[in-house]
Amino acid sequence: MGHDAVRELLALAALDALSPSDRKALEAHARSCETCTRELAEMRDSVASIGAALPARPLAPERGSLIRARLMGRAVADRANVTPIRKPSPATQPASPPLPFTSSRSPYWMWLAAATFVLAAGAVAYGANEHAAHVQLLAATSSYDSENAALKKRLSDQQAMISELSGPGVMVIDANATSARQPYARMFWNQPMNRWTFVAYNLPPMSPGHTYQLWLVMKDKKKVSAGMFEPTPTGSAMLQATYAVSSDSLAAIAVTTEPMGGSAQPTTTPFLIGAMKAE
Amino acid sequence: MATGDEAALGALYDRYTTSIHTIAYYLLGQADEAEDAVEETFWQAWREASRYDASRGAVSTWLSTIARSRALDRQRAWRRRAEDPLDTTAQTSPDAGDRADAMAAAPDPQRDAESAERARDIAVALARLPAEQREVIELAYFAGLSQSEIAARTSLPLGTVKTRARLALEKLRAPLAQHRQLSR
Ligand SMILES: [Zn+2]
Repeated sequence: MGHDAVRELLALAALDALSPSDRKALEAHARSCETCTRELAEMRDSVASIGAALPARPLAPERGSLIRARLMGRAVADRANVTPIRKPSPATQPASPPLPFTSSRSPYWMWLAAATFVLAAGAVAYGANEHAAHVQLLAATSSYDSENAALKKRLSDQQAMISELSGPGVMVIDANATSARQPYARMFWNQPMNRWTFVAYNLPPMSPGHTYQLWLVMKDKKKVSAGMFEPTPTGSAMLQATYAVSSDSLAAIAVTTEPMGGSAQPTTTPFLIGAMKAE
Repeated sequence: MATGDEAALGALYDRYTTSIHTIAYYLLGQADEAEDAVEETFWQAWREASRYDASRGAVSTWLSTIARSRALDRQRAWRRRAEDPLDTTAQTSPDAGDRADAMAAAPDPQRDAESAERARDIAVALARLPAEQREVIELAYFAGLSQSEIAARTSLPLGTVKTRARLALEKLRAPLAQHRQLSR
């Protein structure tokens, strides 16, 4: 097909309305014709201007945040899949009970599932094998509260958190307990950044005058407070802390109920505990 | 972006979600379908970031091209299902964005009102075009018809369809070119 015939097709090409044979002919010609390549780009600009002339229809903020969170989770997963240094061996894969993410309809949990999968894989893939710890749980978990708008929004809105939870060397510690409401918690330990992000669900309501306190339990039995937190009415909580711990000195994380204001050392038996498991 | 930096995906999303959703909404007319198209658009952009060539156009053009393709894929899938009497999913599929084909479903005042509003917005957006060019653009851009489908629908020779499409896009390009001149 000659230059003039191809030029007649450029508008329809930009509109993606060509027959397959015309499109092939155009592509073949445009590869060697500067003019047609440039004019096609201009036609594409014109097509784009049609969309730009329409009245803006923004996504509802909540829907936008959910889609954004889902995309970020997919991207994190994608990156982990395309750049693994080492594949996780079966021995390093989570031995914990299957997470109930899939039973939930909330896209947020799909995102979280994708992200946590990557975190687990990432810790291994980035050469953290020697240090990588995984989680063993005190008891099985089944269902938990999957609706927490505040947590959802906070997680999906915070770009910084995504990178904190997805960087190389992030480890994941799950903590479970059996009780009436089956609390469940997950700790993301970004070792290079010394950042701890703790999320928990189905926490029992606080009794008045009390608070929950999160502890880092060292191998030498020392217990370091990582902060206090209150659950939301739906029993969810999130806590972030910065604290340097060498990877081989942490034994477990634990949550206790303490008097309001917190304690220097735990005064009650932990109701939620997640032990590091050396690989 | 091309290095696989998801922060760039977030920035891209924040910057362009509204314009991408606008395109998807006007092509699909269904909130959930439009949302899926938005996600697919940004996902494709993320996966194919290395194919974006800044020397060949603006990011917004590249993204809106992807958005339109993803939305048209959905439209065409509806149309295929609607045309295949053995496909039982046709019962539940939304009516195709091709408005001329969309008369089958039961009356739904709200949907009819929304679709009338969309049609009006589209007419306003293309108001600078003469009616015969606008028709070709509507069928190509919004209904996703191919050149031969447009020719059949309008009973025009293929050559006339090509000419009208070219004249329309040249006319639509003018203000954009002026804008570029001014912003230089
Ligand atoms: Zn040429």
